Amino acid sequence: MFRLALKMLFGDSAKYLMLVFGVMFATFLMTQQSSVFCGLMRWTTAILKNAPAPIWVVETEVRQVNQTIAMRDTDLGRVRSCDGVDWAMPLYSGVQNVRLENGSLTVVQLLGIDSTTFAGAPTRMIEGSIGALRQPNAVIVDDLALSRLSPDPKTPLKMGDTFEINDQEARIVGICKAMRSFTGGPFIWTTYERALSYSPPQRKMLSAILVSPSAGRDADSVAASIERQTGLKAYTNAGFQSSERDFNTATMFWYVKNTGIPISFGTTVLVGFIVGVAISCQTFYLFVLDNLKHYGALKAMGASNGKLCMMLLSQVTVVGLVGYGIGLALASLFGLAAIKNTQPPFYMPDVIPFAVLGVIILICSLASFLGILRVSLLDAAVVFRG
Amino acid sequence: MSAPIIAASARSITKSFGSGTARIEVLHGIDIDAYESEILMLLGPSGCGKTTLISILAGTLTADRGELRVLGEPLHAMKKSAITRFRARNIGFIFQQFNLIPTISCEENAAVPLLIQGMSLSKALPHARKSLDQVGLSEHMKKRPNQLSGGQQQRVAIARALVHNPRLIICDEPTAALDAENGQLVMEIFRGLMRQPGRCAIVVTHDHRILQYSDRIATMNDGRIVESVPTSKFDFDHHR
Amino acid sequence: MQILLTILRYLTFIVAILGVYGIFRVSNTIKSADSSIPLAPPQTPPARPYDHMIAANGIIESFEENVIISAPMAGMVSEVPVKIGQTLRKGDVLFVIDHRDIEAQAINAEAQVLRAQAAIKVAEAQRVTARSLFDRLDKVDDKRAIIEQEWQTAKDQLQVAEAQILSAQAELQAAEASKRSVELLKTRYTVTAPRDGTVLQLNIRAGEWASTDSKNPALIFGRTDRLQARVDVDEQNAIRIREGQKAVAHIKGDRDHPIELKLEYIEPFVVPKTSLTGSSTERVDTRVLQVIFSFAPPEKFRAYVGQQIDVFIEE
Repeated sequence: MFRLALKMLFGDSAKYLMLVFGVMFATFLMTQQSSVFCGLMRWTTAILKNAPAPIWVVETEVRQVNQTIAMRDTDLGRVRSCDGVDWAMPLYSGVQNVRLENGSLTVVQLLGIDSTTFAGAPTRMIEGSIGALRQPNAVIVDDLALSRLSPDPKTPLKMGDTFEINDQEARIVGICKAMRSFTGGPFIWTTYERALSYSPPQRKMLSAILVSPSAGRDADSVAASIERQTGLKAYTNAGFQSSERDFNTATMFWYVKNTGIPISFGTTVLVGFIVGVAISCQTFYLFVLDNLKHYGALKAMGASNGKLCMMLLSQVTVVGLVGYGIGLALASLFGLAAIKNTQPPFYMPDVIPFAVLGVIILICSLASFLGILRVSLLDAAVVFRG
Repeated sequence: MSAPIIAASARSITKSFGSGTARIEVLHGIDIDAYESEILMLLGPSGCGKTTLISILAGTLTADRGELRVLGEPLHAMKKSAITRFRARNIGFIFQQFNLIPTISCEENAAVPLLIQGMSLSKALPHARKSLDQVGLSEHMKKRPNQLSGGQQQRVAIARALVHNPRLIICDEPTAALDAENGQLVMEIFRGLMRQPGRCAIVVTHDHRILQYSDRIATMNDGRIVESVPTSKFDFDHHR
Repeated sequence: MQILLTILRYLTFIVAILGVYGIFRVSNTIKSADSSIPLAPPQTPPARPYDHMIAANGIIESFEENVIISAPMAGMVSEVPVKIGQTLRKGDVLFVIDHRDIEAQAINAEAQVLRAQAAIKVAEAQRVTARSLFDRLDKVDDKRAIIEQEWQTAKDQLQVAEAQILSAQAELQAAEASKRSVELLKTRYTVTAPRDGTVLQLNIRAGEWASTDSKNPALIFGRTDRLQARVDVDEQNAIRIREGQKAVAHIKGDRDHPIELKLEYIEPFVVPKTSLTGSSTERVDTRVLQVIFSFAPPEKFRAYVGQQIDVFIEE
């Protein structure tokens, strides 16, 4: 019976492909869109990944990492004084203008890190070394900056080239790989002191304090103790949803609450779902209707409703799994290309394929439910009426 | 010749469709018997209730009132699921439009009743081939139904109807979709296969050319059996 | 056509299986690119010296503070006999400002003295003349031989001569006084070491114009046999500071050489913090308690006055 069902399904390849296409389309759209959404949300936390530290201490009012409210210099000493702090280093983070040789302006994300320890330095160097930051006017840039800051995009900058940040010279002494920022600007690292001189002077300039808990202490409790002792805000940086103090989570939720991004992506995912439901249900129902005469004959010949249901379910299961697989294939092609190109954002938590599988199962159940309903209500005697 | 054994017997069968004022009684108390080893043909004008009657005899439709015994089982008192199982085991069907599944091969089509009974395809196929062989289609077993002529398709349907060795075979206008020559051929083969003890066939037909293959003819009109005559006494010329 | 569709059908299975594999690849690629947060920065920071501590930063000064020496008056520097880093004793000449105008006044004063001395001599000579005339008249016994008036005139002239001597003597004293005052003024142009110490910064060279602006001192001078650290403790941590607390310092950029500090005194006056971050504009951030620690200059390396230090005070 099972093989009969499959043979019936595969017998008409065109119809089979139509059925598979619906599920594939839904799978691809939902997987790809939710991954792009996750990728985009991850981009909002790029600073946290590019200036890595287990704990970030920021001003009390800071809700997300792209927001900088400066603290006083002495807050560094206060944070260092807290129990459980292994080390605490200053970080300057700000968006600055870079003037290209051809006169056009572009924005960059400037990170000023402690010049002794280089806490917050990039982790994946391509060329040069972090120690070279001690040279005068030295900066480390990410690979995006090479093309973005070059006057001619065809000839990217290379080691030793110079450009101007707020009319002050900066020389490239290192190139690294970095996560792209939400604002699209490249990342530039320099020492804390030099970052201050690159930036227009303000009364307070300390954007964040990077902290590591001492051995045997967990980041959460140390962050809590810093908050209690200094009144500043201490976030941990261990990844989305790792704890309620996690800065990534706070940042992403801030964007979810305060921007239209989730709605627009949510709509697309919903469209994927609806289109998937519409196409899949409709084609499968049409498939059932087309074969209704045969189901009627089978029913007359003594096939029980249960057996017919099983046939429909096996058909829809095969269609669902194959369509899901092909959808995943398309999504993974898209994903690999996006990751290679670093554009558009693409980040797929493991839960996405499983969630999409769940939705596909739902779509298939809905589609087969309609078919099963139709077949169950079918009067076996219908075959005798012309 | 000993007394014939009743294969199916209906007593005071009534059936109506619709409800309220739109309620139409189609069968007004039918009494009919079909015997083993005979081909009973049901004749009658359109709308006389032939189709409803065989649907009830085949167990695909339940009568409103009356008693129905098929192969000794009281169908009127059985549950729907039991009737379905009974059908799968004991009844073969031949439909007017053949109702072969177009996307599978002839041998697979012929194996369907065995599959319905729960046999695996690999076990069912030899039976199906044997059955197809009996209807003279051994060289077309791998083909799909739409690659065959109408007559060949109906022969596949016969092979399918007989593959599980049923004791009652219900035929609904088996030759209506065929030309005269093919109709004759199909009925020839059918008749040949019916020459086995214990089998009973009830054939609904309009086609007077095939009445000669019957053992008995029952004529219906307006929901009643008006005449039931053994074929030896039947005046073919009169009906033609 | 049928074969094509069959191939297509099998293709869908293959693609579907590839799709599941592909999504695993994507997942793995994403995970491998997911760099974990490193616990330690590229250069290990100094180990936390105490479990409970107050961190602050400070600046190295010479012991008992630096002496900032400016020129006493504006003028051209004529002579700088000291070199930077030179150790001096109290009273050694640091630099001399050009004082040729005073020199000229001294010459003038000298001349005045000589003139006054000459005037005394003239007056004495005149007194001798007057006295001899008077004595001659006075010795004449016959008073008739001389006119009474002549005698009287000679007597007066003698008295005048006496007075002229006194006047000339007074002139001399005045001239000598002005000469001394000019010489005293001259010493102001020579700046000497106020105490024993080392020249830490030398901003003037012979021939340069020295200004009296204390923002640009001519010379910074202080002790380097022992150094002190002026440590800014955030006012919010001020209550945690007590006499007798232990402390270590790390010179900015160093992590391997902690310096033991001895608390000298706590400045009783809380001051606005001036930023030590190197920006040209001074920014007032907060108020800080200044705590002064002293330490012996480290042996393995040199600590310089003016260097920033990270200080950890045990609590």
